[in-house]
Order: sequence, then C-alpha cells, then structure tokens
Amino acid sequence: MVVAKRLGVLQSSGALRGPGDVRKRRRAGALQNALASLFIATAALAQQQSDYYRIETYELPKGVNFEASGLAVTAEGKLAVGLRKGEVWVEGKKGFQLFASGLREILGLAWHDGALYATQRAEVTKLRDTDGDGKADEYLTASTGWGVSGAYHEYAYGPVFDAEGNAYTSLNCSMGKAWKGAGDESTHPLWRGWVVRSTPQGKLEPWCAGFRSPCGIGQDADGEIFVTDQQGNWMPTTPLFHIRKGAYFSHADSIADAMRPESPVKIAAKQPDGITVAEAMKTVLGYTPPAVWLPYVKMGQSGTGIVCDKSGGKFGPFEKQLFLGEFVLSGVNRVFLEKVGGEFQGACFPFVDGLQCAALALTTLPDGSLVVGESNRGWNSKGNRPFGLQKIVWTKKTPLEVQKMELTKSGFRFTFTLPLDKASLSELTGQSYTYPFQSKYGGEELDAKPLKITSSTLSDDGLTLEVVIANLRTGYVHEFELPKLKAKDSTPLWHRMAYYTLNKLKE
Amino acid sequence: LERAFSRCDEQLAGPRDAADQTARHDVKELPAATGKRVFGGYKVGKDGVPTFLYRQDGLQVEDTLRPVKGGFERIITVNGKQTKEILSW
Repeated sequence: MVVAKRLGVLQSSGALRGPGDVRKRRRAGALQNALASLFIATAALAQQQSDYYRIETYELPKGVNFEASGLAVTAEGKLAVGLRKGEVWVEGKKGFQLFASGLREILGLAWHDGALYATQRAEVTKLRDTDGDGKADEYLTASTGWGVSGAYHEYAYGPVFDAEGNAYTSLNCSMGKAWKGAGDESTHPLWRGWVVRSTPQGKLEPWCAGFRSPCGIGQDADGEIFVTDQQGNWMPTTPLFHIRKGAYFSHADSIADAMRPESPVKIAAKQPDGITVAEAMKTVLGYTPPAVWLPYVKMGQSGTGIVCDKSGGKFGPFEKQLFLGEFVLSGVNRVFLEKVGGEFQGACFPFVDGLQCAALALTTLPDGSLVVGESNRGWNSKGNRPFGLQKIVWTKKTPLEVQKMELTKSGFRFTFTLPLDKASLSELTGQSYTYPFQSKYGGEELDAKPLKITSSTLSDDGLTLEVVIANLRTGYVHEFELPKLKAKDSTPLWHRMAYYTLNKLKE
Repeated sequence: LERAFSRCDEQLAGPRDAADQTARHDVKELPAATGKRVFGGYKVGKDGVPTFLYRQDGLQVEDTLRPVKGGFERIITVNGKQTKEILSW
C-alpha cells in the first residue's frame, strides 16, 4: 500500500521532489523564495533529517482530491482517512476503499467503541458498516447542537473521547457576519469559539471557551485533552491549550455565550485590549494561558493536528510527548510537557519539515510510525502540493536532541537523548519575551530581554545539563539557542532551538 | 424532483397558518407538532435510499422516501407502527 519512496526533501528548503513539481515551483515563485529565506537555518540543520526519520508517501486512489483532513486507526489497525470534501476512505487489501460519502467538510475522524466518528460542520456522525460489505450503512448523529450560521469559518474539529465516552469537539469562531437566524434560532447559543462535549446520551455541554480557530484537538498519554489554535485576533502566535471545564483562553468572540446561565466559563463581559499576556495572567478574570506558545515563524505559523507518541519507543526517544502538525511550514513540531504548580507547561522543539503539503491531521499506526494527513485548502504552505498522505518513520538511529526540558527552582534542566561530549559545550545564549493580549491581528514578541545565564553544569554521565538563570519571568517564553553540541559518539545536535513557556515558577 | 422535495419539506415543517393552508390545498394537513423534531441521522439501504431517523414529540420516527413509478413511496414508522403512502402530482 505505502510506496516506500524516500523523498529527497532535504537538499534545500522547498526542495523539488520530481519533474512534475518544476512548473508548480515556478508558479509558487515569490512566496517560496520568501519562505526559503525564513527557513535557511532549518534547512541547513535538516541535512540530517533522513538519517533519523524518513518520509514515505502513500499511493492514493486515482481521480480523488485526497484532502486528508481526519485520520483514525480501526481496532484492526486499518488507517481510515476523512477527506475535507466529505468522504471517508479505509485502507484495505487493494488500497484505500470508499467507506462513507455525502458528509459535510470532515475536519476530524476518530475510532471509538467499534465505530468511526467523523466531525462534520454541524455534527459528529457515527459511521458503521452493519452488513459487512465494507461500506457504511449507518450515519447516526452522535453530537450536535452548536450553531452554524453560514459564515464560512465555522469549522468543527474532533472528536476526541474521554474515559467516560464523552465526545469533545472544538469549534471555530464565525469570524465575520454570523447570520442571527429567526425566531428560536436568533436566541440559540452558537458556542462558536468553544470546545463543547456530548455525553454518551447525546446531551451537548459547553465546556471551555476563548478559541479562535482551534484546528487541532488531541490527547496526551493520560487522556488529557489539548487544543492548538491559530495566530490572529487575540492569538499572537500558535498556542497549545490544556482543555478543562470552565477555562477561558482569550478570544473575545466567545464571551457572549459565556454570559449564558448554562455557561461553565465565568469571566467578565469585557476584557482589556492591548496589555501583555504576562499582565493578563494577573489581571483578567478566568484567563488561562496556553501550556506552550510556539513562537511565530521560528516554529512555523499555523499549528494543526495533535498526536501523542504512545508507541513505547518505536518512534524514537520521545515517548509520551506530543507532536503537532504545522500547516505553513509543512512539518511536525514536538512538545514536552510537565506539571508545575498543578498546571501543564513545557517546551516546544522543531522536529520534521519538508512534507509535500500542509500538515493538517496526525495519527500514529501500530508499527509506531506517524501519519500526516495533508491539504493546503488553497492557502499557502511550503510544501506546495494541494493534498496528500505521508508517514514519518523512525530509522532506528537516535538523533542527538533535547529529550526533556524541565523547569528547576533556579533555571532549566536539559536532558539529552545521547550523552554529550563535554568538549562541545560552550556558552549558552537565550532570551525571554511575552506576547500582546489584544484584538489586533497577531502580535510581536514583547519586552524581550537576554537570559542572565549564571552557570551551566553537565552531569557526569553527560545526559543532563543544569542551567541556572538569574532572571526567570512568569508569562514569558524562554528561548534558548544551544551551542553546536556533539554526543560522545560525535553525533551533532539535530535542532539547537528550544522554547519553554514559563507560566508558573517551581516552588 | 425539486418540487417534490419542497412539497415534502412543507409537510415536514408542520402546519402553517390558515391562509397558507387554503392556498396550498394539495398539502395534507399534519397533526400539530407539540415538540421539537430531533434529527438522529440515517440508514442507507442496499439500493442507496436513506431512511431518516428522528424523534418527534418524544416518538421515534423512521422516514423513507423512495422513488416509484408515478412518484414517491413514503413509508413512515412511528414507534414500530408503519404507514405507507404514494406521493404523486
């Protein structure tokens, strides 16, 4: 099924993948060049990518715009793919077979309790094949009740299921003129910019609010739910939010529904505009900052799907960490999380780039590989193909990477995947910055200051580096540029950048 | 066909005001709905025809509209009790 075609993705940024791409590349023109200059550093480092992770491209059904916008794996281990234009295809002996059709804008697929669940614009639909002919014959409404006014940004993503069988769906803001409806409809809550959940009995419950375009929803190894959002109004860059009942994550469009009596989100009807995130954490009632910020351009521009590596080491040395799709960069980023003061926070690191198209949905297969569903939906992405499906496979060679980056009482502890050669350890540099909390689109890094690194000590086994910092700041991203480290076996450090979001200090 | 579905929609939408009913004398009046219709999805038969599932006034309804010679056969099952009619015009 999978064409094990090693792609020569790494010679340069935006590398050609075959003769057919030449024309497209020329058309892409200025944008590609601009992006190429942004990613020069990444490309130089990425020379080593195929040593550690190879990218394989799936053979797809001919004549189908395979915009893979939802991925799931069945109990039998078959890959199921939801297409944005409303079909579900399931991998079989003869390649992908059409399983379901006629659905509306699938932006998420899950396998739960013996059935596939596809999130359409207005509902989550349970799809079952009850007569064993390989095609769905039951399309049952599993979760519905949020508002759809007709504004085109009203995307719905998910579902993910918790241990009790509740289904969670993340809902885009309307972003534009929402149609108010008539009669009952005009007073119906839209829950736009919310995560809602549906009980196994089908009761819809508003859960948490303040999202803009929450394109990724996924779970960590313990079933905790996380959401990625998109840079724009009230979102200075891609955040990774930890979902909890009643939490509020900053986008003001969801405030109106938070004023309803059934809302679990308790916030003020108005919020300040134009302060910093660090200030908002202290002053805005109910504001919950993201567990991790992914700095703009440095870590891509548009976070998407989330998957946890639960392969038990089959995907490399990052077990139980989260992997996040990146739309514009056409790659995958990595996130390490820890709990500090009862809340998740942590660090993000570049991982893999050079995919053929924008990464939208992620899942893992039983063999430990990571599948990326791709569609650029007509928007810009570094990988300039319009759609596709690829998988990332560990070559079994361990890269030298920061495996964990933990906060200590006085700084950070970096744990590496391989023991370091002490001779390669030179001066560390870094800076910290916060972001604006504002209605204006996007936002620059604010109040940047160099990190005052007072010492860095490598452990005797070469695996951990303790870094002491005199000016840790809460509400700030702490960015490090690591030296050109080498492992004892001479393996060079693969990615030198690390970004830790410090919301709480260690007691 | 478009007209057929629009007529079907009108029936599903329940009774209209008296003037409207008079103007549309070909529309069979349905009993007044006292509750919400809650859509529950659909099943697809081997012939590709869907049977729509919903709850109306607390009752489970299965509703199939199948093309037949001269129009459509509509089969409605409410709590297990089936009624069938041919819609033609």
